[in-house]
Amino acid sequence: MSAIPTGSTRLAVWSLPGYPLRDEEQEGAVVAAFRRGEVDSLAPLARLHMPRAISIAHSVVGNVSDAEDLAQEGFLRAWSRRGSFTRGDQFGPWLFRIVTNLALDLLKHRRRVKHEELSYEDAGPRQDEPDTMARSREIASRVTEALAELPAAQKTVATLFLVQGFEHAEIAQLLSLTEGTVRSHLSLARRKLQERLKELHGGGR
Amino acid sequence: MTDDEYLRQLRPHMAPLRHEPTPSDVARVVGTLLQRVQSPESLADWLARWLRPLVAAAVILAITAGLLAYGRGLNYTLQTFGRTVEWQVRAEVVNGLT
Repeated sequence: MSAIPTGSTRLAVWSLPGYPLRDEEQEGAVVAAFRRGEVDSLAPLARLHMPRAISIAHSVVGNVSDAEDLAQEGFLRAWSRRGSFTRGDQFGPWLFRIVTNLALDLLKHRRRVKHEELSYEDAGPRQDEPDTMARSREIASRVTEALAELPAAQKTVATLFLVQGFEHAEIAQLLSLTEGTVRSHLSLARRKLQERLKELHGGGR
Repeated sequence: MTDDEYLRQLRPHMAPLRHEPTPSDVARVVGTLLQRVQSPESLADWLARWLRPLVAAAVILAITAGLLAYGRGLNYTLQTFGRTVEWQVRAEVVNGLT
């Protein structure tokens, strides 16, 4: 394949289905085209970042349909605000921040935090699974219950940390908080989780 | 055990709760997204894009004008009230002298 086109070269070839972005340099060139408003740059960026965007939105709102809509809306919002994207910033975190904000707005509007929580399809141990898996499901189930009882901000921070595996700084960036606030939310969440899990560990820990 | 250590050891148990969209789900969402971006703008969209900022500007102007008018009215009322009080005091002083 020919060298990566840069500068004002059109990106038609990158919009071919299944065309992967090989590395950061290539993503950088596509992001530059995105900033210039070249529609062809959207497809490779969307294919690269859409799975994580949907997953993050799902962690916040708790259902797949809304998560897909939010990820799509996030991309549209990013596209319409591409002028505000700063050169040198990473596209992924910028997009995820937009998606997270949209998801939080949706929660505020619908107030459905209590109704749609993350859950296994059928919570509780199944007959055919080994003990370790059953135990893991039990822990996850209790953590989910405990998370549901937390205030929205603590729940969001804890879910992003536990389920999405984000670090403190990343969560702070996503939610426009300081790292100290993120740590404080996590500390409060830990207390609640520990209480719940004490019974499971027979009052241990 | 610190908060960090405690929460980190829960991560492996929580990982299965992470929603991983299938490639076909992603393809469907990306397809819809590209369609929306590439579709020509409808008249309603165009009007919304232009009218929204215009309406917002008009509302801000109306509020500003309203506040200014209210301020002037208040000023006038206070001045008038002040003059009335002044006249009353003067009249009482004059009456007191006579």
